[in-house]
Amino acid sequence: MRTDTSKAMRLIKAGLLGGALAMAMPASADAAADGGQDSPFKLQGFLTVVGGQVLSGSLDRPLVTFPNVDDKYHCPCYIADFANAGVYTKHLSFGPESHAGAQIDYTMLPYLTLTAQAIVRGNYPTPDLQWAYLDYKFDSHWNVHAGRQRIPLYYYSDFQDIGLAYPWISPPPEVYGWEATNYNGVSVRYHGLMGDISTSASIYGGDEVVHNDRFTRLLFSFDTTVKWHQIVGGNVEFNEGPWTLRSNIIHTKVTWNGPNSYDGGNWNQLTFQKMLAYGVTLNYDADSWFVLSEWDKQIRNNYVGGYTEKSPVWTLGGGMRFGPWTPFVNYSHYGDHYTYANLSNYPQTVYPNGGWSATLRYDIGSTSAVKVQYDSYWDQSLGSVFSGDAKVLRVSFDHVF
Amino acid sequence: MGALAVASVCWGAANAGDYVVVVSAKSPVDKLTGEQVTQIFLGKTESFPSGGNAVPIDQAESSPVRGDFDSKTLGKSTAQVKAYWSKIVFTGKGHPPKEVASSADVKGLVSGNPSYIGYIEKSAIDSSVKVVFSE
Repeated sequence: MRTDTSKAMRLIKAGLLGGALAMAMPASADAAADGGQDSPFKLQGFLTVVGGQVLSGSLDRPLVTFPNVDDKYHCPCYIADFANAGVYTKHLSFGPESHAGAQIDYTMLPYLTLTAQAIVRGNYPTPDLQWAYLDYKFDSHWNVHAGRQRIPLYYYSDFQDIGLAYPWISPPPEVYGWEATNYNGVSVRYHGLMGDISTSASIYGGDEVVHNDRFTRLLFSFDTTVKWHQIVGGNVEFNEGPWTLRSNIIHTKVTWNGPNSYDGGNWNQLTFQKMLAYGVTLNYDADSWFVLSEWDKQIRNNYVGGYTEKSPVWTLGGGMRFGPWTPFVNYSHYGDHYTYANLSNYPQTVYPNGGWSATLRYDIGSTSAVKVQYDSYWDQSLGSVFSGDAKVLRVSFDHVF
Repeated sequence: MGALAVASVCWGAANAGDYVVVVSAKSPVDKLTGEQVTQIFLGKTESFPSGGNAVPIDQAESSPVRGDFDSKTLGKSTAQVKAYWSKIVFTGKGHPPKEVASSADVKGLVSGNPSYIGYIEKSAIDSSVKVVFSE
């Protein structure tokens, strides 16, 4: 049975190195206890190791069915992370979702901080720069970030890599995982209190270019360059007691460019789209039990091909806490509708998929957790299904330092 | 004698987590609700309700009062608090309160700065600090 435990070991070593570096740096807490100055540097990080295997599935063919493709992903398979082409097959693997990250914050002035975060992934050992921005604090309510940041597309988007922060092994792939996850630009942020209601909001704008895009590698046999440009978005979140309510909206232009199209055409712009996405999250956390819910919709007007793609997605889950144990059950759904502007008589094509997951989490102290998750995924895309049905078992270890 | 020893151990254990939330004796802050203390310690506000900066001082997880403060006042286990701050830290939205090792260290900081707020064991109360909340 072929496994890739070497990838897991590489990530564990990266996490241990980061932890050692963190301990070597002057700790702000120690400095405070001595009555001295806090260190201007803070080094923190996170580690997630995930091992997974498809137990059974409905397909027996490569994921990408175009001619001359490599057989890297042979189904039965399960796409757990669309943004990073994290695919599990019938062989136990640790590469698709394992990752380690380190973040450094340097406080240059009381109101000016530089933050940088880099991540290495099981299948992509070269560090990715996730964050690299200046934080300017106007006052206790307003601040601005300028530089490279994570796109807060949906609720879990900007902390999707922090496994300790949520009950699943990873946020549902029916909702999460698109071509771009970061942008270079500016965000203006607010947080404050209105009575007992805690409020936070942000507006942001910028651009992103991704070479050798991992998401489109799931669709094509060749590498593509993806651009999200003229990104404009915003979100607002309210917290009161056990309730959390968040809404989000984003508009961007999207282009995919490849060396050649799969059908041998001469043009190299595979697609040009205008994308609008919006959604709402409603969570209730009564401490001993909690409910997580989210609904989002993407509308992409595709000017190459003349069609509109509408993708409503949602997820609903509930869990209970028994000391360090947290069982959690979740259902997620992805709907995809294509409408062809120049083919009014052509029926809508629909590509629904979704699945149940059952997760058991055990907290080891306050900085680590182990999770076991079983997924039952269905794929009812019309015509040729994409990845097919799959039943999957995964185990993860999360740690922050 | 054996029964007394057992009783004293139980009494000691029951009181290990008794704590109060304090500010400097020179602070203009008088009283806070549990919700207001929670908002300060979870970074939802940087100000006292009556005005002025509010800088929370936490105790290390090894402290006997830390677990009780998290569960009774913040309403979360220490693991849940850590998960909450992980989300905040790694999305650039803030940092957890500075941590010190003991109630003595909390008093050392709080008594010297009217902006600081911390929690200490009831037995550690003295004239350098003022109690603004107790469970």
